[in-house]
Amino acid sequence: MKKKSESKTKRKYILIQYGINFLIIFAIMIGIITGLSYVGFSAQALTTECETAYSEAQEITETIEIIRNHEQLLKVWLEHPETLTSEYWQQNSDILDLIDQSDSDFDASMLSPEKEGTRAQLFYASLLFDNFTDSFNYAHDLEPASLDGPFLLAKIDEGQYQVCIDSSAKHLALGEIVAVVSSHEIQSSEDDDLSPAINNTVAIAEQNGETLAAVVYPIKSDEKIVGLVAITIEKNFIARTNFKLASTILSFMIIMAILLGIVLLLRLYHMIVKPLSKVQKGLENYTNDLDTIKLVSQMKSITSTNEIGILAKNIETMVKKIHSYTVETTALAAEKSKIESELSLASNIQSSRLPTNFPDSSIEKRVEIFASMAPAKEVGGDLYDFFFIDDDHLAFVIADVSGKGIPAALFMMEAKTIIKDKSSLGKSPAVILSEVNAQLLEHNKEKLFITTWLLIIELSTGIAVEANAGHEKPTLCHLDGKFELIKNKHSLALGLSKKITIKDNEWQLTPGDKIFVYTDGVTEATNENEELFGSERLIDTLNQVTDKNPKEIIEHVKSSIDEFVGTAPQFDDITMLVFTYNGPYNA
Amino acid sequence: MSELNIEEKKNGKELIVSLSGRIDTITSIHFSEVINEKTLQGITSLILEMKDVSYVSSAGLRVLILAQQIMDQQGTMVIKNLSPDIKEVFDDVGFSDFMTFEND
Repeated sequence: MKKKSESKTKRKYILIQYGINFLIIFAIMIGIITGLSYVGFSAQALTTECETAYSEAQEITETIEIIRNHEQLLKVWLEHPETLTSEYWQQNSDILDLIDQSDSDFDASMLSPEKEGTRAQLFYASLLFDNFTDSFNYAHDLEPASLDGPFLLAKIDEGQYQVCIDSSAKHLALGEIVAVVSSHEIQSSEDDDLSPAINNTVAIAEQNGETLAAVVYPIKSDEKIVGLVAITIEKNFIARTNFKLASTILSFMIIMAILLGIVLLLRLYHMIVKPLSKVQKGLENYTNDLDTIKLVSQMKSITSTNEIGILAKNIETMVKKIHSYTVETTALAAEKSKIESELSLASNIQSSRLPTNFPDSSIEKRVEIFASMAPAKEVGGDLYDFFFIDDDHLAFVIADVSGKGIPAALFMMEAKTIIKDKSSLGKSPAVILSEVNAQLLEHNKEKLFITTWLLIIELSTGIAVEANAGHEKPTLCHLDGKFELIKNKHSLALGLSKKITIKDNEWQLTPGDKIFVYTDGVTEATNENEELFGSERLIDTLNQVTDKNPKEIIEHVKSSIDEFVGTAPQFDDITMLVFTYNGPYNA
Repeated sequence: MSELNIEEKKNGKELIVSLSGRIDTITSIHFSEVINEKTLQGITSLILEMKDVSYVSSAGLRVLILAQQIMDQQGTMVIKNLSPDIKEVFDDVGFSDFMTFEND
């Protein structure tokens, strides 16, 4: 069979739960910061590199602008691309002699076109080209790896430039024509690598449909731009730099996060988890071994001053309280058990006082007697008695003290003694009961009273005299007849008032007569529906056993009551006395 | 189910208790909570209106007897309009001398 599933959750640890929380929070934070920095650096990356490139380009430009007629130079280079090779210079080195012969600084226009002028011009151009190529190549080697160039671009037209010196770099080739677009137009382009933060020292060169970022420095002649020195920036450079920077930050942050996380978790452990765990384990042990002293010392060892410290103090207080309650309860339980055993003893004493030595029917032929008393609590307030006043006079008593338990029991024992004491020869039941009443009234601060029925039978004649002080109606069954209630007037119960008038009633009993007397525990026995057994039901029950002996009759009534009552508790003491008068047997 | 309804009315030192239903072993407990030594403190006249009482068991009798004993010390107690059947039972046990009965 499947067991009813308890929601048994797997045990979780605070540190792990919190560690996971930290992980998630840090991961999110790191992600956000890395993302932001990646975007932010796009602006910065370019700036630093560009500044370097810019100043280099500027230097180079200055050296070019020193040359007189540098505008012309560029033109010559463009018109005569053959001069853009170092072989041309080597092939025409004889012009060098001509140069040595002149007086002033060599200048392209010095040689007249007629006298080898053009050729000299071309040579000059070639010579200069050679020089510049060297320096450009030199500059190339100095650049940071992310930059390429420098390139010398000569202006052909608006926005159109041709590469004159390529300094053995990769991005642009000698003689290539590029379109240079200024930075203002770039910002609307879709090239994500370059768009974010480009300042106006950077222009984009367009080449074969691809865009190239470059730092340019304009070469001017008479305030007009005639050429550019361009240092190109590797396209992926920006992305790569950003990525490099971002990943540096990322790694840094991850390391910081790990360290921070460890520190926080350690602190968490030390400040909260450890003392809390102590409390938890202490309580767990306590529930197993109930060792108050151990738990108290464990709680005292928690020195936190925060909520956990207070928790520990509270637990200490609580467990001390539990301890004292337990001690109290144990003492009370011991007391209770003591009282219970004393009550049980008292019950034995009391029931031993009621006569159970019913006359043996083989010896005493004149009467057959049986009686029983069942208290509602351990001790009761009902009593029955029978005794010989003399050999011919037998007295029967049944009585009921108001109330139940110990007070009624003590009163009952006293009353029984007084009744027997006063029952001497010659006194009628009425007289006896009046005397008993007077004696009971002598000291009755508790205001208890006792209903009493007393019958004295003269066995030789069958004359029975009976008096009833507030007790239940007796029942009588003649031989071969039925039980009937005897409805005589009763007097007040005993112990209530001095003003009491008790009357004697005289019956003539014949052999075979049965008398059944009882206390109100019989007629007022209640079942779960709060119905009473009642005197009618009692009569019916008795009439089922009219031919039985006293013991059988009482047993039958008892089981009848038990059946009727069922599981409802017994409210009152149940007492019954039966005797059969068999007539005078002369020994 | 046996039921006992009890209504109390206090006029200074007089207490009128009206009962209706059955006073038996179980309901007499309720009855004894209403009239006992504590609740009768300072009362000099106790009137028990019993015209709607259908049955009184010996447990109920005990409560009445105790009330009578208490009122004997401090004033008077009157049982009013007890039904004849029950009155007969009371007479049987000699209560007529012990208690005071009145009919309106």
